[in-house]
Amino acid sequence: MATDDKYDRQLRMWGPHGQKALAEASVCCVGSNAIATETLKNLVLPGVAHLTIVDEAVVESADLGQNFFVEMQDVGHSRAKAALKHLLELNPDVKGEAVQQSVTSLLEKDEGFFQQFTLIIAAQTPQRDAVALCELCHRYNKAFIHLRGVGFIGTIRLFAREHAVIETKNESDFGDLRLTEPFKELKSYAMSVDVSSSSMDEVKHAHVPYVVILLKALEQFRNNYNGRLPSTAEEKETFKQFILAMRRSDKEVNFDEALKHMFKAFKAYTIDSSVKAILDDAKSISGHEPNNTAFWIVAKAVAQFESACGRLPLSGTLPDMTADTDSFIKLQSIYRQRAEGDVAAVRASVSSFLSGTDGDSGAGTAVMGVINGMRDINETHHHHPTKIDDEYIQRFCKHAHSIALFRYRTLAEETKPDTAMKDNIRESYDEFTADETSSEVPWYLALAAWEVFREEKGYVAGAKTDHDHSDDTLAGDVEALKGCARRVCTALDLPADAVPDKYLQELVRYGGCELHTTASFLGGVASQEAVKLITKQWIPLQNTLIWNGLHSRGAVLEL
Amino acid sequence: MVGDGDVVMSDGADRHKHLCKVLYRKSPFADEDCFQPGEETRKYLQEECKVLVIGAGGLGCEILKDLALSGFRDIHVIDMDTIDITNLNRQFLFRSRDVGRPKADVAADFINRRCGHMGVNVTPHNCKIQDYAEDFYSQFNVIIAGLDNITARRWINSLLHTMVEFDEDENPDGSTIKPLLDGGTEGLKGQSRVIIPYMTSCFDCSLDSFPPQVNYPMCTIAETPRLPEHCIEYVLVVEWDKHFPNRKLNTDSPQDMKWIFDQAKERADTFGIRGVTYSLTMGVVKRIIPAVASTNALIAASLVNEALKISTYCGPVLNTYMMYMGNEGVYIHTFEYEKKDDCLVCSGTIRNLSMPAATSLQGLIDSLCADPSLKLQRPSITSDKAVVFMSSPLLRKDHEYKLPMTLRQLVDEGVLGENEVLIVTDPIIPSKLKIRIALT
Ligand SMILES: [Zn+2]
Repeated sequence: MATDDKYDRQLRMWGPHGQKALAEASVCCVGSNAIATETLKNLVLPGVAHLTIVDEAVVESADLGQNFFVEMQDVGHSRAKAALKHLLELNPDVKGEAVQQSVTSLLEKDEGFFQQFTLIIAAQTPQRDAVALCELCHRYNKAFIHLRGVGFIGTIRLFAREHAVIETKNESDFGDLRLTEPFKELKSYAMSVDVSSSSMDEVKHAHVPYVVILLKALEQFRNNYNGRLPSTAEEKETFKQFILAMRRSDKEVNFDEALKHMFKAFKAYTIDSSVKAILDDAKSISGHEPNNTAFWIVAKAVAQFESACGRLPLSGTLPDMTADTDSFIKLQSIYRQRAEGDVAAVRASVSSFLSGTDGDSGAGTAVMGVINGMRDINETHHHHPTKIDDEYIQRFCKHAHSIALFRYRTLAEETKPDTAMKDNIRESYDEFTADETSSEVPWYLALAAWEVFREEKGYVAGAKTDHDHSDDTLAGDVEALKGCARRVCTALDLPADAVPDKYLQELVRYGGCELHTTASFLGGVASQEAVKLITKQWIPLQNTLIWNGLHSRGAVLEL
Repeated sequence: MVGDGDVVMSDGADRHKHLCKVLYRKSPFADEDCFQPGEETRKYLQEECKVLVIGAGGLGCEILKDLALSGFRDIHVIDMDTIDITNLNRQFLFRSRDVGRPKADVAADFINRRCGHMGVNVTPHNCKIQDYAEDFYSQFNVIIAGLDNITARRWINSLLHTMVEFDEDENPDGSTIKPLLDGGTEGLKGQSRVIIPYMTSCFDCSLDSFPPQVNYPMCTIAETPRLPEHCIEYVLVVEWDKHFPNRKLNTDSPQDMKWIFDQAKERADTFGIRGVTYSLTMGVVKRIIPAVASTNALIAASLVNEALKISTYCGPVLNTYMMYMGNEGVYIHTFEYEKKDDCLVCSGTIRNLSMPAATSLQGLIDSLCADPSLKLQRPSITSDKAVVFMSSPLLRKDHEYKLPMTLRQLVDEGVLGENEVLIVTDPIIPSKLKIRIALT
């Protein structure tokens, strides 16, 4: 083997800093059922630091048929303990603890228990406890995932009071080339390349980077049009002719690239409105704010940079393009050096905030506390970081143009829907009435009714018996569930019969059964989302996924 | 008394309490004509249905677990690989002490240990899929592929198509149709699809949707390198052979990889290129695809979910393709992948090509290999009259003299007829391709 790092394949996705975040994360899972263990498996394997499983259940024979992390010998013993033991075997780096208690009693007796975790996962937790857990997560500023699966159907719901991402990894990234607002070094380099000179040899000419070609064409255009950018079709054509005039033959690939990327020279520099909103938020945050994380401190510094310069720090990366080695390296270093300069300015602001010399934060008296830039300081620790990892500042600046911030509704808020949420559901319902295959919202509504049924009747629809599967026996539950569905729909201002009967019949058919494939699918999605929440990379689910394993369809609903 | 038949039978229903709900109860979504809720269906699943899993890697380990916990008992797994340390972050049936052992053996052992009490028995096969023929594959009811390469997926897809028998009215014999459930993952993205030979689109129908392998042009890597990848690629394709003319690079050897890295670093330094690292060197040389446990888990689950429905009819079957994208929020797209009219494997049609009469035989062969919807590697061609070309190392010598000849010359010599249907075969797939060349 050419490497001894078992994490090699994932390090290529989230990098050493992502791995470090995982290796410092403590995850609590309420439940030790198949959904829970399937989720945890995919968090133990990549190496989270610590695992806590809360469940009072004991292993039953039925668990053996669908939960991989319990064995014959475990029947009759604590399921949390059995699951933990088998899960920890997967990765010696991970430590864990099993708490044989019900979440209901834990919530009553010791809700502070949940403060110690980075992320809390609730698997098959009944609505009432899930709502309470989510409220705690809101108070303690913890990420929360609620999972539910019955038969072939399931839902995944995310919550975070505030989740900030600097590495959104947007693949359709426009790039930060500053063609329309070239900084001094970039412009003077581009102008120094004499594309029209006959002394430039053929090979060299065919390897002038397209960035240089576009900058030169734009300079020429602006000289002719009072410094404007091309905007009308006619002007764009003129611009194109400027490029073609520089070209010597249609075999020059660099000129093809220039034509392909021409549109980048038409768009004036702008800062995305969502990024702007974050920076505006950051300006009003002082050193005394409870939610004073590394993110907000650097965001404030970047906001200051933006106020002064009218632009964000340069990302400093040059995409690959046809070029000879020297031109490419030269251009690359021009962008990089400028980016380093921008980082230095941001770093200086960060330092002055941290030392309290910026005049308004008053953070000079802050208590000790070092954060690595990836962990939120929660409100229970009212300290202020004295140092922010320089790599964090660099990453922030590099991705400043695509940072993102997410705030989620709590589960309690979901139970008292506001107009915006009702509109989202309505919209999805309208899609459903137009085309049954285009929306999974009936499953969301049916499951909401299913929760009401369980709350009111004290058992799960269709689960009164495990042995009698006749229609007659199940018909009563179907009728009762229809009643629940009518109330759910009416409360959401939908037609009372919005959920077709077959969805409710199907849920009754399941009788609360947990299929392994549904559990494993939900566990796969939930662990992907958990990794996003812990590493603060990629855009997480917003905020609910409805999985319909009958048709292998999934749909996102923002609740 | 683990594994005792009587214990299994008497206790079975209890362990499958969850599964039995969907097997014993009617569903408004299941096909009424096919689904028979009850004991019969459970018995079929547990006592008759035989499943083959191809690949015991990231997807394979998950698939085996999912099958064992979905009522399947007679499971076979085939994989030629041995366990590497970099598998351990997702291939959860393996431990560090298993490194170097055959994946199929270790995976089968683990599942049999954990699930044997339910009558589950996994049979391992440590070999290449191409080592087995029709008689092996025909014993299975469903085949699930969790592979990481296109070549193997093409091969099994093609073989399953050649196994279908048709009656005199050209209707396929249902018992010879073996559904193929195919999955793949890359990073946070993945897909699963259902292929029912001749009924749905097949793997080759989508062949041209796979991006071509990244190949840096030789002039770039030799003369105008810009990226660290260019430097690594240059050492790999030029310098290695120069320094070690008689030795093949062993990508699993730390010494070999270190040599590539050192040379690439040195080359990068002379050009002022930054970013050559050991990890990047490995990534480029071994064409590593990033992989995580979570994506494998959800794709494998979807495949086995379909296996359960397709075997018991307890729910509708995926029609035909599900794409999962976790890289920007969550996006799941499910759609019917269209059959391709002139698919080499499933269309049965003759592909009409028109070529200048002055094209050489070599030119014809090159164009068959370059066609993104064929992607052949070593085609052999026969006509009604004669063997046109044989690519196998033993026979190639006898036909090489024809390579420079033009198609016109070959017609004149009577090797092939103008507009004649030619049969093209290639070791890459068992299917036969029919082409007809119009000379222009
Ligand atoms: Zn096809």
